[in-house]
Amino acid sequence: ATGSKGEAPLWNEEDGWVVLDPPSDTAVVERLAKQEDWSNVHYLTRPDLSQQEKQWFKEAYKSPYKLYPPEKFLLKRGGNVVVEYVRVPVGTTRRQMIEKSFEAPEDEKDIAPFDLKKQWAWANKVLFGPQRDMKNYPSYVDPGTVPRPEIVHKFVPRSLFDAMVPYSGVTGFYVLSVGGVFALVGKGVIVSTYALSYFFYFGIAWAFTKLPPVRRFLDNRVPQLTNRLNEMYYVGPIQQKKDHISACIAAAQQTKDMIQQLPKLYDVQIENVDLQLENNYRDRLKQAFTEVKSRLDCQVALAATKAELEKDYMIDWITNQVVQNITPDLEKKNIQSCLAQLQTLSKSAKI
Amino acid sequence: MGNALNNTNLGGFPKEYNPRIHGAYQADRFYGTPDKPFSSLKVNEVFQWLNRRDMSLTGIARFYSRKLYSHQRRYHLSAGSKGVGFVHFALFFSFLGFIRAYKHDRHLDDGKYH
Repeated sequence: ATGSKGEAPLWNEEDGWVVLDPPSDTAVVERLAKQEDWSNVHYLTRPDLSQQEKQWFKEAYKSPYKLYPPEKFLLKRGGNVVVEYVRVPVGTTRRQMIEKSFEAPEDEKDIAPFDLKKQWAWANKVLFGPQRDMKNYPSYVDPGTVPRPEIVHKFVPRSLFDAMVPYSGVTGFYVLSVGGVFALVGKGVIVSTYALSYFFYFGIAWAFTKLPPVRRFLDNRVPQLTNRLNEMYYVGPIQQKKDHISACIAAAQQTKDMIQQLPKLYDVQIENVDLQLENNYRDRLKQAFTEVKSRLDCQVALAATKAELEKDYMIDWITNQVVQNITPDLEKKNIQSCLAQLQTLSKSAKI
Repeated sequence: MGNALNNTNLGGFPKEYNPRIHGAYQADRFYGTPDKPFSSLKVNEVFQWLNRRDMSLTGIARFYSRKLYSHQRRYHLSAGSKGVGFVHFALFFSFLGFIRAYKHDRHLDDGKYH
């Protein structure tokens, strides 16, 4: 492929099978666009690679060992850290700083004059230029924003359904599908084995569920069962977890409150010990009192006993002395005196 | 032998595609000369229509790919699709399986009770 008007050829035949470099300027892109040949133009063009970069590409393509670009973007120890300080004049706005940040640094400007804004502008010029046919080829629409086409019986498109109505009426699709199946079974195309009846069981069960009494029963029963399952396997476990968490929170709060009351507990324990000590003191006091009292009681009892003994001995001795000193004539005189007294008394007594 | 592949278009856009006219490339659109839709043909026009079509291997592959992408866009990637794309896919391959297994039980056609 030679360039027109004596320019340098794009490809030399002696090089053989090589990767063609992307065009270096927009003039080449325009030339190729005029030829309506878009097979040699990569739609994300890089008219920015320098000769050095192209040489690196060629060497890397030929060799299985060399890396592109050499050394520059190898991972280095400590991390590939590049710190740049940019001098901007006073009064630079934030937008200007942001646009400046999108530019390449000074030492790479000649190597990679890649401008994102230019690329976007060129894409806009190409894709939304004057030749653009927006009527027949409108711009891209996100399919996620478009609703699904209407569907009958879960996989049959409504367009197919409605296209058959003018030819075979409203029941055309059903007659064709069901009757077609039966016809094929009768002809032997669909072989009738034991397995075929199972296909019809599903259809019969589906038709059975469409009957009104069955429908009414199912509309009551199925939500009931689904709600039971939901409660058992979804709502129940979640509620258990919530209750467990509430209980843990309450226990933690209780523990916190108990910790708040620990100083009081300390004082109460101290008071408890004091009470026990007091109790012990009182017991010992009582014990001491009782011991002393018992000893004193013993002394008192001893003294009393001694006094009583002395008294009784004295009384006995005195009476015995008196009785010993009683002579018979004294005794006679005593009796006589008693009799005389009795006589005098009997005279004064009134009977 | 590599020289024979120099002017081929393997893995590239169709020749008729021009981003200046058609915009960004969409795989489910046809970028050739507009022709009558198949459903509006009369029976005597069918062969002429087919002759105008690209019946090469790449043409057939492009047709198949276009149909896959359009079906995907309509039934699979749309909002509220709910598995209809998967069902169509399964039905299509079930039909191919039916075709493949057609000869499986032909020996039973001669039987009295089949």
